[in-house]
This record gives sequence, C-alpha cells and structure tokens, in this order.
Amino acid sequence: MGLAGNTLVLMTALPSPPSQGQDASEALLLGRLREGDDAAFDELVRLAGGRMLAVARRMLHREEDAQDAVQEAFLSAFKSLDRFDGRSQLTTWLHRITVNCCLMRMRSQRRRGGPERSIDDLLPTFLSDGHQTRNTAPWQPDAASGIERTEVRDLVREKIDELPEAYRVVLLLRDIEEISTEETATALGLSVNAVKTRLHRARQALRTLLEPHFVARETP
Amino acid sequence: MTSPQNPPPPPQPPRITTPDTSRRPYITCREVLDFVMAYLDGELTPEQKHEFERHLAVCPSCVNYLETYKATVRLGKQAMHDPDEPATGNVPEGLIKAIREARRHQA
Repeated sequence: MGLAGNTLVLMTALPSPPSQGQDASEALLLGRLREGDDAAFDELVRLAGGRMLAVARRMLHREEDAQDAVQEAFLSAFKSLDRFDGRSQLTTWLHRITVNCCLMRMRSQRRRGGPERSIDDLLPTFLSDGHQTRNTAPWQPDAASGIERTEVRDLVREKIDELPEAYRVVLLLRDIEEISTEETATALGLSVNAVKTRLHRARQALRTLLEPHFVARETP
Repeated sequence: MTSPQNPPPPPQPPRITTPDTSRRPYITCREVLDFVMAYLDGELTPEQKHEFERHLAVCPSCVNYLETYKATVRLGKQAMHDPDEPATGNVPEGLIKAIREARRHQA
C-alpha cells in the first residue's frame, strides 16, 4: 500500500504550527539570512541541521536518503525565507519542511523488501458476539523489565518499521513528530477522519507486534 | 473466551423507587477497542464515556487492552526520541559543505 494523496502540499502552504514566538537571536539570524549573509546560512545549518537530520533518520532508513532530504529541506527553506511569517519558531518551520521533504522522498521510493503485511493481520479479532477472540493479558509493569533499554528501543523501532507504510507514516507524523491531525491530513491528502482511523489502527498493530515481548510472565 | 460481554450484574438490594438500569446491555469489546483512541483523546460524549467505563468496570481484558495501548504509544515515543541520541547532534561537515554548494548553485 502506498502513501495516500496525489498532491503533496508544500509545508509553506500548510497552517502555521503552534506559535512559540521568536527569540531575539533568532530574529537577528533571520535578518542576516534575508540579507544573504553567507555565514548566517552556515550558522543556520549548524543550529538546526542536527535536529532535522534526526527527523529524517526516523522517517527514512538510509543515511544517504536522510542527508539528501535535509539538504532539500534547507534549499527549500532558503527559497521560501520571504514567506516565513515568524509566527512560529524558525526551527519549528524547518521541522515541518524536513518532514515534507521526507514524505516526498518516501513517496518516490518503493518500500524495500518483499510485499507488505496486511494491517488486518495485526488488528484485534472478535467473535460474532463482539467478544475478543482471546483475552488481553497485562504487560510487565514497566513494559521492559529484564530487557536493556537500548534493546527495547531497537525492538520498538524494528516493529514500527514492520508496519504497513501507509500506517507507519501516520504513526510517525502524529505520535513521533507530533504534527497535528489536520496538518497530517493535508500533507498526506487524507481526510481528518482517515488520519484518525489510520493512527488508531497503526497503534493497535504496533501493540500486537510488541505484545509477545512485553506480556507479563505467569507467576508459578 | 472468557471475556464478559454482558456479565451478570452484581447483586443489588431491591430499590423499588429507582429505575432498574442494571439490565441494560453492555457495549461489546469490539466497540470498546474501536473507541480506545477517542476515549483517550476525550472525544466521547458523556454518555459514550459512561458506557465505555461501565464495560471496563466488568471486563479486565479490555482494561488490559487500554493499558497496553497506552504503553505502546509511550514506548514508540521513547524509542524514537532516545536521549542517548541528542536531537541537536553534530551535522556532518560533508553535509554542511554540500548544502553550501547547492545554495550557491541555487542563487
């Protein structure tokens, strides 16, 4: 299943992210950028590039793709500086542009590996009377006891990667990048309700994938 | 399958003047699981929320599902925002150079 939506709207056309205001140093930097100060562009890359690269690495798998997406994001931002209205922080604006560049790159790539798993295989199942087919067991209290934290991290990432792409991307945008439902819907060409449905199913599917690793062991 | 859908109500002393609501059917596990996100997001009406919680009160399996659903969301956030991987880490010098050169070509 590919990403939905035929037209990807540029982040510059999306609703402004929640405003946290601009601080004085950011306003100064923005002024220098608009004057074409070369050093200011390098400064911006060093200031915001690390965070943008982290976003791209979360969304794309290959380091090369992540760096390419960040480069595209900066170039797109440089071209659009005049349209940055200052209602949000510069770094927040760059975050949105980075997400958009990653989405474009994801759409142009076929998912590596074989055919995707159906989301239906990962959703809860019910009997005809509406009961769960099997009871849900509790998880370990901290959902990770006995497992190293880095192991948990790697396991969860691996399971997120196993989600069908159309669901993985919604989970990444909503839960991880904390982009609003409305913005996610616009970026993916979906309705708000479709985003909500996909997010819920993505979480349910991830829960199913994690369950065998976290379900509480029965006490003897 | 032991999950109660319409478990017998607990014994209640007879109240002649109070309408008997204990026989009202419970919503199903399917309905509860379908509306977990809406419940957590506070999007259910007061009546829906009441019915949702009335089911939870008699269905440990759905309580477990709700808790593990919340744990899943939390684990996802923690895994993708690992404090050992600072969000503002160094940008590779090669990338800075590539962006600088691309910008000059763009100009």
